[in-house]
Amino acid sequence: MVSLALVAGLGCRGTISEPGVTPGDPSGPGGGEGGACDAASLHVPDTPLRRLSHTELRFTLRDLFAGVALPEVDLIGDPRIYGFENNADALAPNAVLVEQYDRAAVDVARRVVSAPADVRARALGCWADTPDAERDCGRTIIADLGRRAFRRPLTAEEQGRYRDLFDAQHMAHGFEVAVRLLLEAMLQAPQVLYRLELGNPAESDGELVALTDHELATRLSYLLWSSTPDEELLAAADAGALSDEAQLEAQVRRMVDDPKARAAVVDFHRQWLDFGRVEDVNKDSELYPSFGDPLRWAMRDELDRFVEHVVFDGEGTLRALLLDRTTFVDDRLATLYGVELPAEGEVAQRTLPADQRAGILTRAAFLTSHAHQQTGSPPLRGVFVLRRMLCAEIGAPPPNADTTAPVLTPEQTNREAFEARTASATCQSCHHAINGVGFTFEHYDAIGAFREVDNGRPVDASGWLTDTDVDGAVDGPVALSERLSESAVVERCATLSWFRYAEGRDAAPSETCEVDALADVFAESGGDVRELMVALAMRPELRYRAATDGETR
Amino acid sequence: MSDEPIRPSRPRPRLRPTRRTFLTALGLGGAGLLLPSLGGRRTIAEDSIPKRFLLLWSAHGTVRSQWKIDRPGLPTDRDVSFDLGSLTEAEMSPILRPLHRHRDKLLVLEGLAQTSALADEVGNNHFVARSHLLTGAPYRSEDRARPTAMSIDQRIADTVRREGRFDSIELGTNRDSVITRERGEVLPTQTDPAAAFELLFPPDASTAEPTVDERVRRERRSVLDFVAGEYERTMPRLSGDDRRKLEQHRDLVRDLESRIGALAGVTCGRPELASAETRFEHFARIASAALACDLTRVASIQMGQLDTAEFGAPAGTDVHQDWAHNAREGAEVPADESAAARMQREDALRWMTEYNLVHARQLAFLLDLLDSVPEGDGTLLDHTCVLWLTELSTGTHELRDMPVVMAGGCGGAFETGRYLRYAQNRPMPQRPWGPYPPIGPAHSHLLVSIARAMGAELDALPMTEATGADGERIDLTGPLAGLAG
Repeated sequence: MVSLALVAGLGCRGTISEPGVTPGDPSGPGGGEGGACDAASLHVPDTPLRRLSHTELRFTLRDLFAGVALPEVDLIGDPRIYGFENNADALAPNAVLVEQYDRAAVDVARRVVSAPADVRARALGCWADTPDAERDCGRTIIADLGRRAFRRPLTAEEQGRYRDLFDAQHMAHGFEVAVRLLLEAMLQAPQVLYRLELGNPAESDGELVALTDHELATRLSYLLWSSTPDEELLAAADAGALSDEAQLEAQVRRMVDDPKARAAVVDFHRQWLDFGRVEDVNKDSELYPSFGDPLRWAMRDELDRFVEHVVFDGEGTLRALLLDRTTFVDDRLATLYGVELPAEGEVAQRTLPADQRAGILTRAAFLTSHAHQQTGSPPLRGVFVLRRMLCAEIGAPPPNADTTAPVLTPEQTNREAFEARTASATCQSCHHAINGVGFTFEHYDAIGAFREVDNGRPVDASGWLTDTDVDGAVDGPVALSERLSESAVVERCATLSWFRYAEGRDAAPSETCEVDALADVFAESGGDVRELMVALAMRPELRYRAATDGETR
Repeated sequence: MSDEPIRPSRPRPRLRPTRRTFLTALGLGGAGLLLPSLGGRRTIAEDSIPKRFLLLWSAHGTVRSQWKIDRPGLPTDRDVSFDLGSLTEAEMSPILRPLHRHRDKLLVLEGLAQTSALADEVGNNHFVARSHLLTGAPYRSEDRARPTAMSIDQRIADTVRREGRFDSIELGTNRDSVITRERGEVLPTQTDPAAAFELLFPPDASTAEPTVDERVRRERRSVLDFVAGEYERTMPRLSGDDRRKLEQHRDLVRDLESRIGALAGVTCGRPELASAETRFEHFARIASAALACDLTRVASIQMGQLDTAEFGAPAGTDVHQDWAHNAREGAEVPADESAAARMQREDALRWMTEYNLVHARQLAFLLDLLDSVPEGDGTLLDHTCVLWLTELSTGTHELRDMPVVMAGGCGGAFETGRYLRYAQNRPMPQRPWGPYPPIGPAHSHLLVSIARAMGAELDALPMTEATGADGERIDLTGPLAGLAG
């Protein structure tokens, strides 16, 4: 495949003192230097053991105990790498978390046994209404819930250990206590909280170890659903059906179309595009009296609905994410966007004005969270687009840089103030690229309302793209979105982001070619997000792990 | 580094004997107090009193002109010290004034520098400092800078930890915790005082016929024992880092299990948390009670950026952008400063002074609590090493000339009641651009001194040297001179 320089090759990289040099490896996973893909041999780097991310654990509990009113599971935040909360290296256990797991297990177990009888019986596989049935029901729970929780059938030894635990507690405290303690133990088990991939040693060539069907099923379900496999997928794994390419693809396509994929895809975009940021920002209440929690949450909520709409109910493409003008608004957000108001207290679907808005980069939440309290911030907006949409590596500003919001003189526009602030040659080594993107958003104020006038003067939203595959002058945010929607760099960046999320790690330099190939598939599908998910799930690499020291020849 | 001796301090009046004078009376005073091996030479009564470490971390930095204390006639070309005991309240600096009543138990350090940070890769100093301040280790620059080593309180915790107790407790309002483990894994803060309270001071077990919930609670340890066993069984099937991860998890489950067991036998005065008090006051009460009961020997309270309401700044202003960044002083003020800029700067200095005053008052409140618990011949405070560090030296992202306040003698390891001013006469590390003003000793030495005082065998932090602006070698190893008096 032809490799354009599929990364925004900014002159500015990493530290400002060393233009052209990036910490890490800019041309590795991000860059397009990969040699030809060697179709004959699979390359799978060492992959660290993955703990379930907090989202994955919450979704898993939701699916294990469908219908049960589960408690809010309080878990301490994990570090975010490139925005993603599922980076395997970063997800180490710590004392607080281990205690929270324990608490969560206690709370969940209590809720499950006190759920309505039919819900409870479904969640557990049985419930003993007579003393005679208690012992057998304990065994049924171990086998049935155990299989769903462990994502594979329990071994005889495992069943024996849980049986001993249950029997001892049953004897001492009765059935209900025993069931609760059994659940508490299971929910903290390494087989549940970690994705153990022991593989099938018989199918090892010394470098690669084939995963078992159940381990593959687990990879598929956490990739496509951020959750545990359902019964159909487990049954397919039980039957060894996932080793068959056609049956595997049938499962993958079924999963991508399943409603559970919706929450997972929304959650991927939440992390990639930092939806949560708007939850933490504040605005000058004199300038923006309408901005408060109701408007903030309406903005935040719009993003989830928008992504779900575009990927599952709309065109389904990256292009549409950048260009689709569908919105979901309450009365406050409708006022901000200038669209027809919905009935009070309701959220309605609307179409945004074509001359003012496009897709995700023109939405209030993004614009509000990348702004100061009084004014929009071209650097924050520009850096976000470069980093997250173009996967450019940009270092932090130098420590002596003044990163305060400039105070506008009476005759100055916001743009002019930032131009003056970043005018020096040192600043320009990065800000030429940053501002070129950031200035196109000057039509939006600090809460994302559209404006034609800034400080009494017409808004100048002309900008430029530089060192990308779609370089040149760009006038305004809609034009920027259109331009980005034509960029192969953006397409590859989205692919790389999905790859990082899917693998729970950055792409290794040796995987450049694989990411390129995925980007090609993505491009050929017309940027269809669900086709990219299918491609990620169907990668032969997903079926193996690297052999460890003890296993290599 | 600091070969220059700190000048001996004048004798000063004392309100009551401190640990230090007590030890001196026993003939145990002197420089040897820095050595961890001292324990064996103590009296039995003193031996039974553990040393504790308490860290207070606050966001942003100080206003130097309002923080520093100067005395007439002191030279600036070498390290000097003077007594705090004889200072009147008015003679304390505005920011340190609330601490006047504790002056005999303070050790105020002026002039240290985050030298390792200054020598590291250039980046946003908030992130650089968060990585270096407690670790003295290089940072990882990807995305947001992250530390790469264990924070000093955790090194101490690993030294003084006991089975069945909390290794350390992390309290605070700061969600981006600066407390880290070996590889820079961030230990999260408990931000909810009620949750911390419940964790540390669980309700007494009922004696009546147990309910299902009580039975379940009583068997919590059996479940954890079972769970730890499951990790144990799984570990051998993995290798390398994967195995270590599960091992770590297993250990943490075991710790939790043994803590629950041991804590069941601890009788501890539960602190009262009045609803009218601030979150910090709750944290302070929880931390002091936990230290007093010996539930843990290491605690930290991280105070993330205050809200404007907490220090009286106008609502709607941005603490970080409007005030911290504009709190420029001295050489940072441009010669051609406009009248508007000057007004804004003066406002910023005023509000950042108020900002730091809030933390000084908080520290004074905390010291009141620690000093009210009698212990041995003194109080809990005498056996505690309290360290207040600010994230940065100033709101303008400076990393040199840090404001450091210590309190409590750490069981006699440090001579309190003094103000130490370290001269700005050591080389600044090489950086991509100047200026290169001389700086004070590296804060790494202080961290080493404290860790040693707490019993850790530590000679250096991960960054052991730096290169000065003129190519000279800057040694970052070893303790800080002057602390023992």
